[in-house]
Amino acid sequence: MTRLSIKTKLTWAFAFLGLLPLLLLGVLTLYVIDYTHRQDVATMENQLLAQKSAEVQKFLDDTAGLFEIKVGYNSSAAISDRDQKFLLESLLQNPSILEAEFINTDGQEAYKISSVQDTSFVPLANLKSFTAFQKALAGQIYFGPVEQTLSGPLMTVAGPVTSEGGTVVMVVIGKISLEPLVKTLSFANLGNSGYLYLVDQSGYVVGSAEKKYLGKNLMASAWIKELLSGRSQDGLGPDDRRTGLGGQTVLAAGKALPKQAWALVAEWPEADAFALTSQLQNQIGAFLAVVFLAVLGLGWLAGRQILRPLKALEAAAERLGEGKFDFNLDLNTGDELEELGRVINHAAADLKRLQELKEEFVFIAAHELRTPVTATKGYLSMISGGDAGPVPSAIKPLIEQVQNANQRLVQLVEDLLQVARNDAGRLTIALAPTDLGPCVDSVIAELQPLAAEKHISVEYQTSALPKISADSQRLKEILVNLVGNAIKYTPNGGKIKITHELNGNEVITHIADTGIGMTAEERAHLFEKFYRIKNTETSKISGTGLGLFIVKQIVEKMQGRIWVISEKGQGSTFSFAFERT
Amino acid sequence: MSAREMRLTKFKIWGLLVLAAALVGAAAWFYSKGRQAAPVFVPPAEYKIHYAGNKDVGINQISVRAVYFVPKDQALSENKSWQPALDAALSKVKDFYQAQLQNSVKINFQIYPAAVIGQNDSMFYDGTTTSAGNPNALMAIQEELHSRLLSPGGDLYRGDFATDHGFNILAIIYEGVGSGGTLDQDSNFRGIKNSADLPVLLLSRSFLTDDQYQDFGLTFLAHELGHTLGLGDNYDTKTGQPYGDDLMGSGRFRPLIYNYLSQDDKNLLGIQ
Repeated sequence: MTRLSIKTKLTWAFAFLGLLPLLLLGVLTLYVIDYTHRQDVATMENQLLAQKSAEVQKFLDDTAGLFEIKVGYNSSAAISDRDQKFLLESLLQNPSILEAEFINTDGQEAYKISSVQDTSFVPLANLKSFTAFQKALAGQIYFGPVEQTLSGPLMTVAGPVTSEGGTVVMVVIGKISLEPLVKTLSFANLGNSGYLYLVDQSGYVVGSAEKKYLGKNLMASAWIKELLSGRSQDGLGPDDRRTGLGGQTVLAAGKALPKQAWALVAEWPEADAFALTSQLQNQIGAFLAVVFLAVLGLGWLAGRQILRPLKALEAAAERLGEGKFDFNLDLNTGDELEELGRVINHAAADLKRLQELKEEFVFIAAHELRTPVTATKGYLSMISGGDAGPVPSAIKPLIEQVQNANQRLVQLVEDLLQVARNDAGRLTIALAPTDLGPCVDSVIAELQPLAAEKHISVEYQTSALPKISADSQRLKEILVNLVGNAIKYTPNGGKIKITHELNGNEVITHIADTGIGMTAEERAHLFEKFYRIKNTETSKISGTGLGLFIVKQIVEKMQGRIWVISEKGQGSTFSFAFERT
Repeated sequence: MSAREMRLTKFKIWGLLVLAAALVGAAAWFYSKGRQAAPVFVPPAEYKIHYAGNKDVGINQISVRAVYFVPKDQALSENKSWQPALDAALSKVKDFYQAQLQNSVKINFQIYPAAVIGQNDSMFYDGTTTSAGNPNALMAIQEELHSRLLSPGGDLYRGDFATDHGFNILAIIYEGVGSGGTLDQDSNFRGIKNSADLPVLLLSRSFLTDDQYQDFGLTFLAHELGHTLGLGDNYDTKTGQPYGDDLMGSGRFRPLIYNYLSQDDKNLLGIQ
């Protein structure tokens, strides 16, 4: 039967009651830390993006303002050369403007100055095919694509010069350095390795603290495309955890700059963003693992501790079942188990006393019965022998019945006395070097008439055997019992064979018959007190059920061992072994 | 199986299931931590740079061989500072192209250690006209350098100077007038089979040393080098009217550090 020990149950109970909530709490904690920190990261990114995008937008708006010039007259005449010079020099006061020029409405460069070169050697050209000119002539502020140069990103900005009536009288075009924006992005900190970059309307990285990213085109990224279309990314979307420009996994957020169709992107490498929480999570994980092992270990130890007195109680119960009452349970658990141990001790003591009384009663009863039944046996023998005169033929069978019944009674009394002696420790054994052969011969001779009565042949092949350590009288009792049983349980015309075998330091005697045999269940109880096999084949065979019990007691008292090999209908072989001297 | 055994078996099965579910939950969480990030386009660290408009001719490795060439009648006018000026100019041009091409191109340059005195006078090289960049001088000097410098047996031949190092360009710094670069107009690039086919640029020494060109003389060198890479002018060569303000357009008059290649030109060279 499948059994689940208390120790196992307790270990499981500890595991479930202690570990499961702990494990669930741990997983929940780890998840909550992860989730909330992800939100914190997104919040930080969005705050930084909001701040920096405002700075970028302000720079672009301020610059755009410089390229929207209105003259104080209402005609379509171009600005005078003197005013052009003054205005351009004023523009160049802004350190971000590297060069600026006025263009006539036909596209011809009118006046050009630069803070980075001497323009006197630069020929003036016609720029009518330039998009910047065309847009500005149409009255719009133009922001050109950002170009990467060795001095940093540059951008062309153009605007109209309008009269009071709104007529575009000239166009002003300039080259703007975006280095201030790059510096702005460089000062943006996200942990140890987070960074920002600016993407222009064509998907090019135009501003980044990392120069290696400048000029890269990201238009192939749907994420960037969506951002440039004006939809900001809050850093919590499923694609916001993605591969960053540097190739590592980042948590990214982006803010669109709709006026220019630009975008500002924040990328924070996950390893850095989650450095602190990862450490915390690892510590929680390690703690959980330690607790897991500790709880399992404690559960096992607790189970063992609790189980120890239970094991002692179990052993005591087994001894009680075996009829052994000479023990004393000493459970110092200080609880109900200790109390139960005391009760079992009392029960054992009471049962022992009861057993002693029973044995004493049996012994006395058997002893007292022995004299009358022996006398009865004698008188019956005398009657049937004709000492009291001829016995009428009608009476003879009755007397025989009485004699048989008396004989069974005599045997029972003898057996009971034997058992009682043994239980009382009064069974005397005198071990001495003993020859097996003569004992067997003697027993065969004694039982030969019984065997002959049933036409059973008894075969015994004597051989030179070493002497064994045994009590010869008791040995005969064993042989009488076993050979007698063989005769009793072997049908007429059967066969009994007695052999010996040397096995190491032992001499084994086998008594094999061709009798009725027995089942495994019957074999298991065969040597128990008062056990008799009950079936149609044994119903007419008398017996007390004590013979084999007594035989086993005697064999064991003589430090021997006894066993049986038998199958139903296949006969039986009883064997006993004693040490050779 | 007895009722008790069934109860025990159920107990064990449920126990295992609950514990397994908890462990699977924990494992799933740890797994989700390490899951792959959403794939997002990451631009390549390096591009395959090729001759403008011709993907079959890779130019990720460019070798510029520079020679200061002085016509025989100008030998006494040899500029003594040509070498450091040329060295500095080539360094800056190298930086410019490497930056513009996303560091996907490696450029090395080698300067012939002495001025090469021509076998002829200026008139021979310049021809009857020096306009349009002096192409006559470019071709005549290229031919002479091919036989004297780059061919074994030439009087100025040096093996290390003539060695093939990838996409080879011959830069002639001319003690005369002119600026120009060979441009293979044929989209079916014929390939460089020998030094006579080398893409060549010619630039007057004045652009590197004279004060009036200090702002954009260097830019001219970069502009002509652009031609040897297959880039055309971005202005009308007859009227001078520019179509763009990049290096190959009106930007050729702007200092190199404020210059750039147009996005169209970058695309032609392989930067997408």
